Amino acid sequence: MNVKIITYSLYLVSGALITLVVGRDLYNNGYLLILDLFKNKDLAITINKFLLTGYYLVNIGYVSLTLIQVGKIDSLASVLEQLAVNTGRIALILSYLHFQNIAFLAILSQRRQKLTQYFN
Amino acid sequence: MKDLIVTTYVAYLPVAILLTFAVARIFFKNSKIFVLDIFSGREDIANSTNRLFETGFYLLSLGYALFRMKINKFDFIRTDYQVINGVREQVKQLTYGHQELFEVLSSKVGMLAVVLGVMVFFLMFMLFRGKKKSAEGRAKRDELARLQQI
Repeated sequence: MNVKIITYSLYLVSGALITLVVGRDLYNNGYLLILDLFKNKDLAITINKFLLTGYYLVNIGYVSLTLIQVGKIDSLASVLEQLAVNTGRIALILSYLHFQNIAFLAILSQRRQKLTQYFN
Repeated sequence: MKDLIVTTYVAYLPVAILLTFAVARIFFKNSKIFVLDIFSGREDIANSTNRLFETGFYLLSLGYALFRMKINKFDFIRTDYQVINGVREQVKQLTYGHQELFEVLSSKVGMLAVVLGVMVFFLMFMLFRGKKKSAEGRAKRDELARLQQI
């Protein structure tokens, strides 16, 4: 079997695994923050589910978009290199998006506090 | 020759993962008290925020560790000069042994440790800043409540 196909399948599996694990974690822990922001249980559940679906779609789509590797893959070392670099890139992008999200939520909740201060 | 590089990778991966997990466990076990203070004692939201940051930390550090794992073979090229048929020529040789790979492994682990350290100090700074901000907000709220009572 072609070595590239093995690398591709390992890459897909690792990318999907990272996406699923991180997404579940964010889904479980982000709920309270969203609830704190919107103060409405049904709305928070719905928004959380929407966010999770969009997150899965974007990330698994990105993983399969960046599947193609141009370089030569012929040995165990190159398989490991390609896998590590690609998985690492996905993890770095995910962490950037993740911290961006947290900052966004924090800014929104601060705005909300200010608004409620003004309007009460 | 190639097996040596694979051996280096196999040695590097557990070290990187264990280092990340150890740092994350120590840091986020002790940051809980700060986050509790920031959210003025609301335990559930403090725990989830802590967990969110922990996930981000894992992603960032493991992503960095994996992204920088690749050993560039061209770092091991040594240029020599040889006299071939009376002409002095430049000869490039790819040489790496246990010593070179040991050095590379050490520098990679060291760089990862430095990055983790910088990240930990940055997170500490963020925690102190959040604590100060939340104390200011609480003071403002108390002041407002006092004014409303008058």
